Amino acid sequence: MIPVDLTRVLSTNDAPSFDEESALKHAVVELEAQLESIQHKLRQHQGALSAIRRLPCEVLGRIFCHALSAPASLTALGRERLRRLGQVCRGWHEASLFEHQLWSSLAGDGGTYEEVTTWLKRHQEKARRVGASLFLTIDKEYCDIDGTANSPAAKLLSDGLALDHLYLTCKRVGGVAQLIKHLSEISGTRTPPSPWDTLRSLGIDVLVECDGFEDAWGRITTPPSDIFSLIPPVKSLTVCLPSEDYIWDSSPARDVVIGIPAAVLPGLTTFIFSCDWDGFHILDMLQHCANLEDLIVEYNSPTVIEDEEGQRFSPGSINLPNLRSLELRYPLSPQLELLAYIVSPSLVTLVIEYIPNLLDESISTIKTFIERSEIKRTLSSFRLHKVSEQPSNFISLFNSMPALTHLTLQSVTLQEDFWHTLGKRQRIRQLERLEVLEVPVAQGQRIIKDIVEFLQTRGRKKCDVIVSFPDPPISPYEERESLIAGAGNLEEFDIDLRVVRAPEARNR
Amino acid sequence: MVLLLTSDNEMFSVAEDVIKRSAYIKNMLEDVGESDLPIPLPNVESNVLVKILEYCEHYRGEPLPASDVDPAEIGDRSLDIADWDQKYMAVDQEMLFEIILAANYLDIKSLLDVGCKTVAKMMKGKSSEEIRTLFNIANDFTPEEEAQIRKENAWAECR
Repeated sequence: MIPVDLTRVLSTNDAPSFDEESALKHAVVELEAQLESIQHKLRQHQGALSAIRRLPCEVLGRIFCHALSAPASLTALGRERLRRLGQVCRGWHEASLFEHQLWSSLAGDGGTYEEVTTWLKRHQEKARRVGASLFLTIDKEYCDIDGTANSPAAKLLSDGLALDHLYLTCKRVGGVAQLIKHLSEISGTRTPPSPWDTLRSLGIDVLVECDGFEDAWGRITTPPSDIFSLIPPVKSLTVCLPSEDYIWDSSPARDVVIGIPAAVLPGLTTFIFSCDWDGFHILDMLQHCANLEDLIVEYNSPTVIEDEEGQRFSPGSINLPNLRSLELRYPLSPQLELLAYIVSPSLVTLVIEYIPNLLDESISTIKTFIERSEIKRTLSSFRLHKVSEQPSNFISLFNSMPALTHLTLQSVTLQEDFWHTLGKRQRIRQLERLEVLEVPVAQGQRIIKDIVEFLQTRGRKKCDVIVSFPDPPISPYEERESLIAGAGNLEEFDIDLRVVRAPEARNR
Repeated sequence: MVLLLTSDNEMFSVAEDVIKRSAYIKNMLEDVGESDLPIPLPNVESNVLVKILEYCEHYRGEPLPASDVDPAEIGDRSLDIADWDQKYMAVDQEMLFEIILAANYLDIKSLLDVGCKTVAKMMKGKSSEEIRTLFNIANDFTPEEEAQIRKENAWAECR
């Protein structure tokens, strides 16, 4: 192209000639390319200056953990996300390897033995310790023991890396029964011992079962005892049984034997049992759990435990001498029947959650349990969560807990004169920490005042009080301060009152 | 009041109960005791400290987390962020990372957590290339390294 002087056309408002226009178009293309190149360089320079480059490995790892909800077990989608993060750049790749939590807990479904082992090895190398968590869904039923033995799950649990925790989920008992049978057959034959033999914690979740029906190979499906009777001697056991609605058409759940060996139960220190079956299965097991320290029982049925004939277990017949923490969750049955059967003289913490309506009878059951266990002077922590109706004798419950130092009432509807009556009757006078959470905002000023007045009846005694409100959150500092300021003299009585947002109260 | 000196030599006078949300400052005050000398913060610029103090002021009066309890370490990995925290974090990327760095340096675990969650949310559902573009990160892998990583993580690829 012949060079054209563009000085005139660029410094005036004259229309360009044909040659000038052509030269201008050419120049625009060139300038655009230069601009793009400069913008690219600018971005590179800005990138080099960016604070993201200064994020240390551990902070990046923390971001990755949030992005992947680690240490929750990584599913196929989680693994794909982790792969993407590690492929961003070298620094991110290193950070992903550095954060062992990302590799510590794996849903191993679909992976070969080598793939799962390689994955878990990264955790062990970074954490410099053995033991990871593996979550396996056993959805394939092998037609013979050889098929089971060659499955990745069987290899992982017989010859793989040591595991701390194993959680098995299966739709049907048969899905996992063959596997556990195989593992128990080879138990003790491996050096070093197999991961199955050295598990510290085991969870088994049976989602659905159809006992009495023929499976794909014409066999009658197996009872739960086929898996539970062969489990290794773990310290912590979680058992989640399928809903009674889905199972055992041929025999009522009441008659089904779970079959955890009496030899395993005494070794348990933690036991989580979730079930909605009618019958006394939990009592059957608890009678052997002499070393239990933490027990969580989750019931989803209104009719549980009670022994129809009333012959096998009498009230207070099950002694749990080492139990320190007991949680009863979702007990749709307001009778809290379990408490009628057990005695736990070392109990320190009692948690009762999700009772729609506490009855006078429920309060009597708790009081009798406390008296029978002789923990009136030692029960120091009580938490009640989501109780919408309060029985007339609710206040009397606190007469049975004079040693209470920690009390949490979360989403509990309280009668108007609750705190006043507590103070008048001089109940729970040893409180050191009181949490009244998720209080309706409308009750704000009144409830805070009531609590403070109640605490003042004890004289000067240190107590940390946290009150939280659900929506709309009490957010501005001044607003909270005004609630506290209106509550009366706190310093004189050594009351440390905090008004916080719900549901953040327990984390901040 | 506590005096803080930022990296760009600006002095801030802050109420003790506000700045004690920083475990770093809290420990320093406990170790050194009362002093008229400012605490130097060589890793924090004044514009970032202003933001940090806004956070501490907002949470003034709320219980300090126990020093040994880190919400992230006890398994709180949800991406839920409180409304106020979300608005607080609605800043440009550079400021977001500066806040995270400062929260890490000053050891304000709840703020660090909110920052990390915000970044984690920004990355959600994005490919490696999209993340590079979002945060202006250069791909510094050699083709061989990239192939090796792809091979190592073959199982992780959605098939």
